[in-house]
Amino acid sequence: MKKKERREATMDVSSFSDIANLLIIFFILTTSLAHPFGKLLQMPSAATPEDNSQKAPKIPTINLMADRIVYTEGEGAEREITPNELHAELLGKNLHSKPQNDRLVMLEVAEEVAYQRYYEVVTMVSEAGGVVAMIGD
Amino acid sequence: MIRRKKRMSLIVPTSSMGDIAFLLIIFFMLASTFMKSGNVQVENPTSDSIEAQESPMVEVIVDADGAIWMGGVVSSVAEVGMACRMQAEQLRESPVHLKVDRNLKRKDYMPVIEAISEAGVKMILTGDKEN
Repeated sequence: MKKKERREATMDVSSFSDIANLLIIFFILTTSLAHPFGKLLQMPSAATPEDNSQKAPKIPTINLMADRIVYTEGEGAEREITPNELHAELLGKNLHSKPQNDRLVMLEVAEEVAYQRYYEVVTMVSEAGGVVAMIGD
Repeated sequence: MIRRKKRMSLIVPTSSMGDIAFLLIIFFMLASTFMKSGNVQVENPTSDSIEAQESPMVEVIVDADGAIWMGGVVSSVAEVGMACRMQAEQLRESPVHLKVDRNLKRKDYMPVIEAISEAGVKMILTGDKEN
């Protein structure tokens, strides 16, 4: 009597390791370490003593509104300014080289100002080396 | 009669490679941390005056609805201020990262900025680099 041939049910798993290795290589190559972008907000320190011995310097003041920016360095010297002009004005002050007390930039923000607009101005001031002092209500 | 030389077969055992690869995958899955803020809807502000920063120890997010997120949990302005004050010592080296939706108005973002600054910790305003 002829015996029936027994079929073996085998699964070929030899390619699994290749697939796993390829997955690892893919993830290693495509992964990028998430580096957040931002700007350190320089704010005046309460511990910084005020120097009253000299005449108060003219502090640059930015009045930020929804549709315009008013810049002044003393009473009566207010002028409307574009963001690019403000950037140039702040960079021209060379605030980085000045002591902390002389780097103050006053910022007044109107109620309707969106964060995008505030963000542009604040990062601009920080880039120029300014210390942002907020004017409250 | 010529005797044939036995030919030595050179086989590299690779059967364990699959196991090693899967162990590596499991290791990376366990070692990686998921973003706590992945589900928070924020439209980032943009600026060309920003640069790459270190990953934060503490991140505060104000989402499009004005909700404040800290460590993956919705918090109040007072809670953010208190948490920053309590961690002020550790936060001296690693500033708090603040991410705010670009469309929010002053009443939504200013109290958070004031609370963090009043806690006496450094703050980095994060956004996207403008091209």
